[in-house]
Amino acid sequence: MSLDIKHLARAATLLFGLAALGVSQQALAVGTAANTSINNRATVNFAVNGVAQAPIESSPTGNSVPGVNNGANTTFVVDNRIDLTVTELSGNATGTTPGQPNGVTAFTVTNTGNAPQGYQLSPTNLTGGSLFSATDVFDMSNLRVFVDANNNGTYEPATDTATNINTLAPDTGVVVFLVADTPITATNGQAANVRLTARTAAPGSNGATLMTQTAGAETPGTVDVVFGDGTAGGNVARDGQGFADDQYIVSSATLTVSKARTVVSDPFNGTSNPKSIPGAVLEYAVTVVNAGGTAATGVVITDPVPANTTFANGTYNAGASNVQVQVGANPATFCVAEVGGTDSNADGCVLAGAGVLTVGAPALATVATGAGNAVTMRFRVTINN
Amino acid sequence: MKKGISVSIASALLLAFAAAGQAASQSTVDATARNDAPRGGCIVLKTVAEMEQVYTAENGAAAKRLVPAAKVVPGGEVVWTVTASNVCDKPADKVAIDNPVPDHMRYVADSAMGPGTDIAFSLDGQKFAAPEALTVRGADGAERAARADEYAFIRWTFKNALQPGSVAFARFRAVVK
Repeated sequence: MSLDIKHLARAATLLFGLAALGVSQQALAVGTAANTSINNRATVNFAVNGVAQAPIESSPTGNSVPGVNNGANTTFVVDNRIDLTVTELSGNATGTTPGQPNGVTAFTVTNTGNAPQGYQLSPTNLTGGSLFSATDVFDMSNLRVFVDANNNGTYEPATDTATNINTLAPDTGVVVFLVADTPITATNGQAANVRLTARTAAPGSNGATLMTQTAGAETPGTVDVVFGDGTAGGNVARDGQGFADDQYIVSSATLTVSKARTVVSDPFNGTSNPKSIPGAVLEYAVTVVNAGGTAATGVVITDPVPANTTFANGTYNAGASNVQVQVGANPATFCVAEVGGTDSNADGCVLAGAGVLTVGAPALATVATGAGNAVTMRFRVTINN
Repeated sequence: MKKGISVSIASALLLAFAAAGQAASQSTVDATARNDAPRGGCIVLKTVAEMEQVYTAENGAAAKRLVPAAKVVPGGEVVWTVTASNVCDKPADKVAIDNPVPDHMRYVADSAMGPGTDIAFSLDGQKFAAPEALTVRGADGAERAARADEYAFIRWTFKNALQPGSVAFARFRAVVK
């Protein structure tokens, strides 16, 4: 019993491996090659008046001459059955971010016919439709198609430059990439569906000469063209072309900024129920939350110091700093905003001459996703007398 | 040559044969060479390749007919028909037609037929037997019944003599691998 289980496990591993490599399991033997002659010749043995006669071979129109090779083959040639499969490789959507160039989705085009073929490749943006449980709502820009020249499954711009399949032998497949740029206007969670269509073309024509079916009756002795492609994956039967769809899904940072104000103290009440009177100290807290799918980097908070107030120094870190930065519930960190607009200590915090506070890297740089990673920047001002 | 064909069997078959003869004659037979060759055989033996075509009959129903083998691709089924016409004035007896299953083709199970014949098959062209008597040795060393797609030769043995002017026929189907 244990032996059986081991075999089963091995078989499953093999199947998985094939699927991962993108080897189409439908690509069975593609059959007798086009232009193969199939010959047939019968022989009759008989007797007349009880005397055995020399055997007679058949011919297409009838032969009565006894003897080996006095007959002739009845012959036809195997015609060109065009069949192909186009499959999406990854089985899931390709993540991208707004404005990202050269996002790659991968497909396999397999020749399941019985003769070498070329393929004309076209990429298209789909409109609407659901794939991988997301619905298409935007189009990718600069959508291009490239053939994986070394068939290593990785898009290499310097190597993979062909845009059509020149010649593909029967029962072989090649990886094809769609490459596209994500518009900056795309937002987190949005999906763009794309389609690769491969049309069968004459081998060696770089996809330029599309194949057509031979119309009417067959021409004996010549190879006729018959479209034999099926309907898997919504394809149209017997049109000599195949397609498959893939999806780009946007994973972006979605930032929300809020600002709160509290009164810390006033000259009369101190810290006990302080009021916003001249001379009071106010604390502003600017909170940035990322509700998107990707961490935001290079975040810089700019906040003008309110009119009729004065930026307060020596307010945090035992009087050593004047700006506090806190990520989630982590211990606060501090920096010093230098008056005059020059970040002389290079801590990312500076106060420009016009009273604009800027807080950036390294004091603040990345806002990771989720409320627990919200970043809060605090500073204090004094209401002018 | 065509004279041998026009002997009547059933009228439906006759139509099919005539059509096939026209198509086939365009391709392979060298009639001149045939005429120069020595004559004297009592049987004209002819092989045609045809395929089934579904068409709409006059009454609107779908019907099948045989047409010359056309646009045959892997998986396509071809109907091979061998006709033997006795062109002598004496009966031919002990008539047996041998036909190999063509290269690149697979015999279709139970498709061999021929009126008044006993049909035997062979894997090697030497031993002919009924299907149930044909065995092959499997990879595990055990004998098993041969599958129809393993048959390599077919032999029709006619039970009765072929009378002068009459035509016998044998037929089988095979699929392009």
